[in-house]
Amino acid sequence: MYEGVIVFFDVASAVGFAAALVIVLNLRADILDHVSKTLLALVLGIYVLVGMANILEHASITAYFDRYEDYFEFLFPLTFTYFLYSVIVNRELDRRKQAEEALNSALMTADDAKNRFEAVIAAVGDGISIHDTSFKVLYQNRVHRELIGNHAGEFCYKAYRRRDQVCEDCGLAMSFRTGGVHTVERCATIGAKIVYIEVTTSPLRNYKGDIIAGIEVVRDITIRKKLESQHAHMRKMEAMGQIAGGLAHDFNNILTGITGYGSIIMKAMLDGDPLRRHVEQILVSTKKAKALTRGLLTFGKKQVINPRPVQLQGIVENAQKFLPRIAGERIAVKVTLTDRDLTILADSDQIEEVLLGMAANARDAMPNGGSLSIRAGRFVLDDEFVKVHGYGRHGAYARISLSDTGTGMTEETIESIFDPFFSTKNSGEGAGLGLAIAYGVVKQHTGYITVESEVGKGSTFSIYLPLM
Amino acid sequence: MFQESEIINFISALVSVLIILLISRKKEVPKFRFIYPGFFLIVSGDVFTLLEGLFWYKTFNLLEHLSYGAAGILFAAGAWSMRNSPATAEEKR
Repeated sequence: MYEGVIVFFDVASAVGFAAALVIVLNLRADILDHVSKTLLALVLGIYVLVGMANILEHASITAYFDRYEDYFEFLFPLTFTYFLYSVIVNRELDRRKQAEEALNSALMTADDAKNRFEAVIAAVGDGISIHDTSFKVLYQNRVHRELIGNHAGEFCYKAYRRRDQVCEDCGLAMSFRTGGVHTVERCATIGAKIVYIEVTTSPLRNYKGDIIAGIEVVRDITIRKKLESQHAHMRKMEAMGQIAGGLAHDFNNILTGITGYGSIIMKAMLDGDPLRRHVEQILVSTKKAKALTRGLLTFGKKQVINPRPVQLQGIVENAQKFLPRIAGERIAVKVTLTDRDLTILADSDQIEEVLLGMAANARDAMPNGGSLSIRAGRFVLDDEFVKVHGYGRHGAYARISLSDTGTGMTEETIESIFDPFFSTKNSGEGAGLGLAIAYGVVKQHTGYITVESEVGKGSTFSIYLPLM
Repeated sequence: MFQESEIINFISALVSVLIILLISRKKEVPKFRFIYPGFFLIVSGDVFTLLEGLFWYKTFNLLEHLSYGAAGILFAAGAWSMRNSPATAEEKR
């Protein structure tokens, strides 16, 4: 009985350890690493052998192991301890590895974020730079470098404006002082170009909230400024046209009365009446005043026009007959017309008058002679035109350009060239209504008139009339 | 009387128990269900082996073999539990 129980326990021991050995040998690597698994298998193997030795001994099959099993057994606790130590060490190594991976991953994420940030900054259409608190340029994106030049590592006040100390209107200094965002507009000279820039500055803080650097965003607003100025000019012209037109209309009514009563007096007077020549003078002056008001009415787009479908080439050819007489002998006139269809809805008399008036202006701009070139052709008004001039409706237009090789005009003159009563001529040489009338006529034909000029090189006036 | 190998076994078991206790105090020892009790049953078996040489041979011999038998079953259960329990993998993390 006693022996039987002993054998039973030995069998239970051998079978249990053998089963554990099989299971452990098949454990997945994520449950137990290779070294720990080997050590545990060794522990179990030892006790499979001890159990089997005990069974054999009790069954009196052999006593061979009896002498040695204890020497096997002492390996068990030591191996088991080492197994445990190995598991702990490997766990620690795993933890370190995971921490390292997490750190690497975080660094990679940070690196990715930095790359993304740099890509976004580089792709932004505005110039962006970062300065430290001593105003040294730390970073510039591509647009900033193109706009201002590469000045990384330099002091901005020295690099941008050649100064020895911080500029008094520096937005960045204001941001450092107040901790807020500041926007200033200024005119800057970049190379030979004068540009308008809008500079927005903002402080950059560290995690404690201390200002450690500043960001400067530079936007080229030259085009915007130009468009704003052109819009303002157009509004001014509209307002002037309304005032001039309204005034001319009322004044014309008064003149009609003067002319009517003057004519009645003239009819009632005898031929030899001494006052007759005074009445004649009144009527002559009234006629001049009527011509003036007609000009103002045209500028104010209040003149009645008679538009009909006409070929622009026909109008130019008709005007061409009068050009030699207007231009004089010292000016060579060259007319270039396209063969393409240029049918416009226009009052041909008025357009012809505008052309002749502009030819007369060109002549006056060339006192020592020169050449006047008139070209007529098709033109497609697109975004580029709108971008340059700040106005314009897309579509196909007939364009007449008058280019002279005269004295040219300054920017200031060009600004006021279409204003009524503006003239660069001497007093008495012109009323200053010619181009104002041209402007009014073109506007009444829903067209556009532009001027390009350079002092000493000449001017080009272009009229754009919508094609039918 | 005692055999030399039994003394060695006992000493090695004692050293192991001390080391394991030290480790468990300093580090977080994985919680191997059944396997720890199995280990301590083996150590108990070693103690019973020593005791059987002193007195009550049959009783302590029976307890010795009982300890080994129970240890075998506990190790098998521990290995099975380790295989099936996702907590083991979680614990490793």
